[in-house]
Amino acid sequence: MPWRSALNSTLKWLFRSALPPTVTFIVINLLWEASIHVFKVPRILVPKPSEVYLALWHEPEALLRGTFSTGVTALLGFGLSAVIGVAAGVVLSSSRWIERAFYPFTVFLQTVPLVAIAPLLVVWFEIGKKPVVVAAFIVSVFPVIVNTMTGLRSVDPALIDLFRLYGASPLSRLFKLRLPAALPNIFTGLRIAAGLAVIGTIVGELFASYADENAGIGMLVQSYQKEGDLDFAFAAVGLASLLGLLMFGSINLASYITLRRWHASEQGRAV
Amino acid sequence: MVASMPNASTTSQPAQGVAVTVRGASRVFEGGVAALKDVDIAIPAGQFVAILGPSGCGKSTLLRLVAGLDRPQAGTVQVEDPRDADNAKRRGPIRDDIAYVFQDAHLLPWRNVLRNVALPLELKGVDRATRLAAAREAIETVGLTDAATRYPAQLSGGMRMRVSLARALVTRPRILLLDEPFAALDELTRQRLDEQLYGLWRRGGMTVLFVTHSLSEAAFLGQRAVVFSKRPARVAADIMIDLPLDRPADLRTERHFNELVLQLHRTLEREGG
Ligand SMILES: Nc1ncnc2c1ncn2[C@@H]1O[C@H](COP(=O)(O)OP(=O)(O)OP(=O)(O)O)[C@@H](O)[C@H]1O
Ligand SMILES: [Mg+2]
Repeated sequence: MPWRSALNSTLKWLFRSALPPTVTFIVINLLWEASIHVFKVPRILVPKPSEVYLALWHEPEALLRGTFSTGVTALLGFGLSAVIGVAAGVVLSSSRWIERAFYPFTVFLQTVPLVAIAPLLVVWFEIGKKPVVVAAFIVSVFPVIVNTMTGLRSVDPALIDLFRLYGASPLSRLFKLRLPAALPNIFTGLRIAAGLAVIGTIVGELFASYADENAGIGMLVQSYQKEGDLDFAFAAVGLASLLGLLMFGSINLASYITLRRWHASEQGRAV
Repeated sequence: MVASMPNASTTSQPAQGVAVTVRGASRVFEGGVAALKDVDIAIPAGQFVAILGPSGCGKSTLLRLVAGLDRPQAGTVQVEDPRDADNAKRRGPIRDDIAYVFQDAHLLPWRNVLRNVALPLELKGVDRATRLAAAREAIETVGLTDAATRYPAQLSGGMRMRVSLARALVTRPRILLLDEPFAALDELTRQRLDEQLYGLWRRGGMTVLFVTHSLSEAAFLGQRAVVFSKRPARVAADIMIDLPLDRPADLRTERHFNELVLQLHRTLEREGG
């Protein structure tokens, strides 16, 4: 029975949270189409949305394959960020001294200009998927680290006392108290990281991928633009955003399913 | 019916409280706030002690010292098994047998009632079947059997406090420290919980330190009321509550009860509460 009610409320949640943006999206497309007709915007500047969809409809293969390729790469980068970011957060918040010694350097990850180091990544990891995954990782790991640390640090002191009172080991304190308490913050970090991983992937692809049949969206946008296929370029950009949205949405769903019974941020959404 | 099952096992055991001895204890916090100064209290095993005192005087600080969560700068705090005095001295405070109920429930929000109540046993390494059985029993004791699978966010404040009480009872503590546990509840709920707690103490025989701001609660529950002075806390008055051991709900309307409440009131007023 519980899975049934979980499914039910998940469907409700999808309905409530997916319907409004869909309506907005359709309205914006109609306005876009109309204003190109009314203001006679030249085709080489902005294509009509109908042309973009037609391009996607008639020649979807390269675009979909590119989206899939970019999606896999972004997911790998994001996965690295999630695992390494949470682990780094745990290590950094385990002692004040470790934090003082290493935290300033993690800030580099936040400030390093990806465009500047992407060529270096290619030198280090060779052209292909590897440097792109690393680029996605570099731009997306910092928010995971910071949010994990915030979460681990804001545990109710009375609960820490309770665990001490019953002689809990540091490990059970970590897994039974600090990590679960940090989950809402960790999800916040992951949400931000999901979008960043897609951006990092596409920027990485501009520098580091082949224009072969597995070319990612970054590669495709570049070649469509060179050839003046603006409708295809727009379709590629749209698919990239959709990819980010899909990843963001999956994290939201995971967060909702995990937290809905106990955390204020996910309550009152469905039920 | 509610509380009859678990009692069978508790009543069969002898009184099992531990003695608490605080000698010359002082605690000064960083920044120079002196919370306790030269506090002396001797609590025999199995006594129910109500602790009163002005807000911010150092009552919670005292409980934390007794629980071993904090240390005094001067003096000693000893928790000893009277039946086993030598052994107790050798191994120091009996941390294993202490339970603490905070002013707020402080439950783990991601665990349901049953798993919250089982937590202390889980942390002590008790196996799953045993700890869940003990948790069910403790939940029944506080009358929450129907709510065992609910999450803290789905409970009322009073229910949450009862879960917190069940969590404290699940280890069969020999000393129970309660820090204004029912302060946030309405008067009737509080009185019901007081009566329940009193019944548990009568059957379990543990030592109880009960901090409260309510004079009638102190008189209803305590065998003894210790009144603290303003900060830094000293023992300003130590009053024996000479009411019978059987304390039915309507004791609160009796004359002697109200005289005791008045006496506590005067003492507290004199101490600037
Ligand atoms: N960790 C701490 N650091 C600094 N000062 C503290 C700390 N804990 C308590 N104090 C101070 O010590 C004093 C006594 O605090 P305590 O919590 O023991 O009071 P209390 O008697 O329990 O008060 P209340 O009835 O309001 O709960 C207060 O003035 C408080 O500000
Ligand atoms: Mg207090």
